[in-house]
Amino acid sequence: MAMAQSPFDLAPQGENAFARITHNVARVAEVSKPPRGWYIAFGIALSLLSVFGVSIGWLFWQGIGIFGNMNPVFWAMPIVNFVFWVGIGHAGTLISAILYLLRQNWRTAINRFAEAMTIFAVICAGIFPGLHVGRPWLPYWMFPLPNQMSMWPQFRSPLEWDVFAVGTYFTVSTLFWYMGMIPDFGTFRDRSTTKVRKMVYGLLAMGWRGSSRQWHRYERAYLILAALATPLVLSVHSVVSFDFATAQLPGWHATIFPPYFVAGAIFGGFAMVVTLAVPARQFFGLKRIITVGHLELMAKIILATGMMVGYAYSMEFFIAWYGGNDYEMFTFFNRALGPYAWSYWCMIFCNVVSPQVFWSKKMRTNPWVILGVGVLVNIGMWFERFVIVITSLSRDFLPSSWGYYKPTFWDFSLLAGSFGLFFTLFLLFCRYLPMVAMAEVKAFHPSAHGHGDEHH
Amino acid sequence: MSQVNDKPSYWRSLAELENDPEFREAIEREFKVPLDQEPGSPARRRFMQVMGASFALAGLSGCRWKEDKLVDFAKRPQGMVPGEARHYATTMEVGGLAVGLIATSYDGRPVKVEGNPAHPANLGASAAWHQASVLELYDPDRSQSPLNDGNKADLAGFDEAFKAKVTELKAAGGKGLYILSGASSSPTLAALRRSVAEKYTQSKWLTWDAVAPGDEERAGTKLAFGKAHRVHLDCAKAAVIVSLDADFIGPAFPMGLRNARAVAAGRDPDAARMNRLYVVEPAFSQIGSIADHRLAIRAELVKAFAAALDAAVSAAAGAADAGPGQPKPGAAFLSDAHVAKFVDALAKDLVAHKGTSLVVAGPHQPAEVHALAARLNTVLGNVGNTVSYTEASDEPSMREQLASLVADLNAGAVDTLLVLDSNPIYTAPADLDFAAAYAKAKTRVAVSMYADETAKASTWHVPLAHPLETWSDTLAWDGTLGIGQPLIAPLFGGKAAIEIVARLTEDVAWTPKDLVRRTHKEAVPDDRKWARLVQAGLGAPGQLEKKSPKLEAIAPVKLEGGEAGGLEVGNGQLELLLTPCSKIYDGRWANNAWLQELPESFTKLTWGNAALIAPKTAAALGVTDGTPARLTVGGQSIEVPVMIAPGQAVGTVKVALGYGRTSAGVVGGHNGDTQPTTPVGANAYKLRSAKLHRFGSGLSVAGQGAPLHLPTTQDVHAIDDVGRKGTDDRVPMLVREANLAEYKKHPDFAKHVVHHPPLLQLWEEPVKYDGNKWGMAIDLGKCIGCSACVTACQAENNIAVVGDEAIRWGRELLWLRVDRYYSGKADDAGVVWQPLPCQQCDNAPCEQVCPVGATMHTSEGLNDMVYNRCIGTRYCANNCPYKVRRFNYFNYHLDKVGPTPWHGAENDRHRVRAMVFNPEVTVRARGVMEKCTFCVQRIQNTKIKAKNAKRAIKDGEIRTACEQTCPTGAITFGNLNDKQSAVAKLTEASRAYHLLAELNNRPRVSYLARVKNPNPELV
Repeated sequence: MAMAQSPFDLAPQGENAFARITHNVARVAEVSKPPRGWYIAFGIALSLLSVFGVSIGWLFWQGIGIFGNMNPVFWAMPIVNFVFWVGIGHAGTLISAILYLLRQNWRTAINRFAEAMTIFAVICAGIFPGLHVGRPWLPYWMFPLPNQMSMWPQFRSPLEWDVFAVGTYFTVSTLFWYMGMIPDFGTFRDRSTTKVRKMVYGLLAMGWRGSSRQWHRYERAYLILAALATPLVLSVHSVVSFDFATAQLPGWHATIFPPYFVAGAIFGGFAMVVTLAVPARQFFGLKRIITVGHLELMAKIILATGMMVGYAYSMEFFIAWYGGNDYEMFTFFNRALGPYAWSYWCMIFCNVVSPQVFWSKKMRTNPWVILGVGVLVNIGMWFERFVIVITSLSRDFLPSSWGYYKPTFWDFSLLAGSFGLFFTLFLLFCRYLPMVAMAEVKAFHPSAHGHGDEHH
Repeated sequence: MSQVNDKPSYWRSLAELENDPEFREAIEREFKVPLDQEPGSPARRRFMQVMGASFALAGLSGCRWKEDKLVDFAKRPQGMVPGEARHYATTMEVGGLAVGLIATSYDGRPVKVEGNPAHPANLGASAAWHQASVLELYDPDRSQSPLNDGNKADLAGFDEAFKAKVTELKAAGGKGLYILSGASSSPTLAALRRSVAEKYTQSKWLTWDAVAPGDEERAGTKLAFGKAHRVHLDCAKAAVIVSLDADFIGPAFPMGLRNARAVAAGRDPDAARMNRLYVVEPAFSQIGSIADHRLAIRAELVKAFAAALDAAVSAAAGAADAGPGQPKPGAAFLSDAHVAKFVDALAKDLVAHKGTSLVVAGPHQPAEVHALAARLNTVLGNVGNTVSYTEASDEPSMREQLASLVADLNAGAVDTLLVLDSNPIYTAPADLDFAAAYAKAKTRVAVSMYADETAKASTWHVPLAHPLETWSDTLAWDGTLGIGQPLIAPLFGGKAAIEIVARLTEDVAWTPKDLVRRTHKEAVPDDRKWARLVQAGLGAPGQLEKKSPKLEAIAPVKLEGGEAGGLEVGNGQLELLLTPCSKIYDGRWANNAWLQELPESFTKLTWGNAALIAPKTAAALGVTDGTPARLTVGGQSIEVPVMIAPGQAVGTVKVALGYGRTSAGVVGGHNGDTQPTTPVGANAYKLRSAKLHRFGSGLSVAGQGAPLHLPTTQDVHAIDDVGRKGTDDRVPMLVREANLAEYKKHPDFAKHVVHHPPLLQLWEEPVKYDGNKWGMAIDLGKCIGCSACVTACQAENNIAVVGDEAIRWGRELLWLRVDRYYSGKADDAGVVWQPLPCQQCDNAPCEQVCPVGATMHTSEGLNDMVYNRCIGTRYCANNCPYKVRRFNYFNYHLDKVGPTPWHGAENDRHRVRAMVFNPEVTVRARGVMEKCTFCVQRIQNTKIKAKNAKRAIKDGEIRTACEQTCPTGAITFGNLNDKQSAVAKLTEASRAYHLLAELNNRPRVSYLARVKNPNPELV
């Protein structure tokens, strides 16, 4: 990549560039009072989180009848939300692991961010399957826990595969995220002015001294974890898609699901990254680290993956026709023209039409356009799951059992509440943890290559 | 409402009873025999003593009402195993139509009834009504104490007041004494009625039932034969059957369940002869749903149709002694090409089947139609073959009787009115204004199971005992005597109607048991014989003498107004058709939640009624499914939502009676002081008048705004085009049908409707099914969609009631459903049924996806649900292509079972409700999946029994609840490994197919394709 086109062109330059990077990132966590915007955002997030808490309390008290689920739509918004959040949880590891392996150095500005997002999204995702079951105090029965009755989970069930796929993904992502933060925790520790901070960051830094040997070990371990995480990016959403693909329901039972879900997840994940990155760089003064150049690259990925999901949508229709299965054909007709057509066209508009603006350079370098498209894609990806889960279930084989699903207040409150959880965690992350991988940004900063200063 | 526990004297120790001389005497004359013990066996003797004790005449001196006592189970009688089911024969009547039942009781608690196979009226089948009777038994809304002017009173108080009144009336020779009784066939009640007439010479006894059949038939046969007769059908012998708006296979028709069995048996396409059904009716009925030819015309046109048919048949048959036939009537609709062709072909078919044809007139059709039916049957030589006549009483019709009562009330002639098991304030035609007239009687005594509308307006109300709580006797339509024995002492202190009437005629109190025994003492003097009679529950069948009445000339029918009209009528001239509800009948079961929640056969509507309108008429009126509409006729109007009913006659608006109760109870709606609930549905009685008794024209319909979301369990007719087309496309694949000729040519046509690649297995089958292999076969050619099986399943399997809101959400919990699909054009639609229990697939898609292994395959091929293990992921239900799995979204049984096992129900009210639970079946809690188990508890019990007796299970020994109650025998359950079993043979039948077999689920339920036998001339 030629230097002139590097997204780092706008990064802190000149003398003491490294110091300025450190300063820019660390001061977010060090200032005694975060910006007012953070308080407002945190207040909103906390209120939403309390909505989450109340909803869960009510759910435990009343039973899952408080949701709109019905016969035949036995899975509804909680599962839509689950897949939605798992999808969002994709971009983090993709950026961390795959782009790392592909030596896409620009990722360093956003990877920490994206990884945090991944972990919080997976937390949100993981809560839903637990909550949506009929007896939400018992989902631990899905874990292979030794017990005196020798009762084991049923390993033929894709839900059981989910438990392992999502669990593994969460574990590896968390490790990856944490390990990446160790050098930065060292920096935080060293800059600490209070005893508590020193102590906490000291513990988190695990004795990081920045020696060559440590760096060497660190780089190796990072590479290994990246290599481990890479297949997970593909596997998690593939396995999640098996929940649907292995079922015999028309509209679910399709071989295209694994790649289609993965592409969609990356698409949605990147959309979420830009949705978070644009305001964050604004609030925390990180415009020179997360540059427009970075945003543009992400816009390109959104455009590319958006076209992939668009292809998948049309391919589903083609196969439904080409396969000659009447039930399948009906399902797709029904998606586009039936009672849920509004959700289908909403999805098409958000996921296929809206990213097309990124063909224009002017658009994809405008952070606010990117943010707008990001939000639309998030909505679109939520609707994609809605379309898959609900339209397929609402009209399956026997017309006698067809029904029209309508979400209830609690369906929405739980979704809103999960955003509360997500943003609470995310805002706490912004406030207390190194939001940008300082060490990695520095490693790819022009100054690191000994010719930084000459170039402007 | 806590009265249920206020009567500890139900329970009395056995020792106390044994020392009681009266009790000893009672034992000597004891007759209670369990069906499963031979009379005379030692165990039986002992058991009789004990059970006899429960009903012993151990009355306390000074008590006016002798009390029946039950036995204390703490001192267990010998031979009585706690928790073991016992079966007792009993009987029950609805609108005077009796059936025989066998009640199953656990530890003195009846929980289920089945039809008595020996009883000729129902042959072992039963209707949803009978199935739901156990829920009514434990309904805490039933009246629990006498009321005096609406205030709680006690029996002693009533007795005193009544006795004073009786003395007064006796002195006056019964002047001013009126008794209004519901339709009843009870010989004991009839005997008491005679006794009342003797002792109170000036008293009057009247009968009123809102919808019971018989009146028009008596009038019609009188027209035809000069004397009133009762019509008896023998459908088994009929090759061609014509229904003139008669749903003669429904439980509201005399011997309807028996007819259903006979008609269905005649629809075997492999038999030498398959019957052919012609149905002329305004709205779909059960017989209409299986008709080979159905002509949908307004009810008022049926008279002209019958006349036209008579004209055509008389001309062709030419029976000289039968007198002249009808002249061709001048009704406009008869010139319609389709109708004319129908009449022509039908007449030809009838004449071709002289002696083996049958014409049936609907109970609500006017006398002329009955007369013409009688004439046609006579002309066609059917009398003595497919139809026979016995003499009937010449009493005036019930509506005339009620009108005369109202006239006497208004004239101030009524001093005391005793209303027995009838609710005229709610059911009387609106123009009689019965409520106002009723208030003019000085003393008004209402004896009813609920403190209903009439009871509330009475000076005295006495709770009526439930049929399962008291002794009774009935006469079936063919004269068969049925004896009903109590299964439990009256829970709420109810009294039998005969007990109350006996207070008028006798000086001392009589128990129902003695009253019934006395009635039959002459015919059955021997107590041992009587014991056997009680044990069997019925006497010798068919005691009525058959007559061969001579036909008299029938004047040409008079056609007035709409009766001579064309096929189409405009708004304002629409026909209103009032029918008894197939679920809650005349409204008496409005408080029965099982019946309220039972999806109505055609509309699949629960919890309410609707104005059913043909698609064409609805389009003209600008209304659609759910549109609230104002129905106005004769100055009266009601508001009721519209439902589109394909296949209904253009211009007919059908509304079910029985809804909109204001004093039914918490379930059906009441306006009492505590917990008032809004009435379920709209009260169509408000539109009823002397003129428009069951149907009549002059109705206008006005839509009133946006459609409501109705609580139906299947999509309404008016859905989007994509869905409509998708449905229409796949119905022929789901419910396979052919005409007899096609079937004869391609007996395996059903197997070729859907073509699929060979269905292979990836691996060896994990289960070998070495022992039993349970399977089911459902004959779609026999299913009449009556849905009795659905309620039977609910009663057997402790299925919760979820309520109308939950049904609107689509959260019905019924394990078994009867799918209804319309075929053909909307205005001339046919209908097909498909009962859908769990298909118990060998390759069960549900089992594979459960992450906790809560649904497992047994070695006998059942998909068992392990409720304890289920965490409620509902993945199984998603993956079930038949969508037969049901989920407990809430803790629907919470009020009955309490939040925890050590809590129990909150109050007595709910504790009584919990008594209806079948102890053999787990009561499911919140958050678990449930589904049809093939009645695994019955399978297991029979297996244990057979194993203990060291024998094999006989074919047909295990019967699922749905199979047992099915009137037509459409469901067969059994062991597929036994190649000689009925189910194995049906599964091998050429027209057997599996639903969605192409998915390779390998379902265990086979469907037998429906074969129709149309007249080639009309195809």
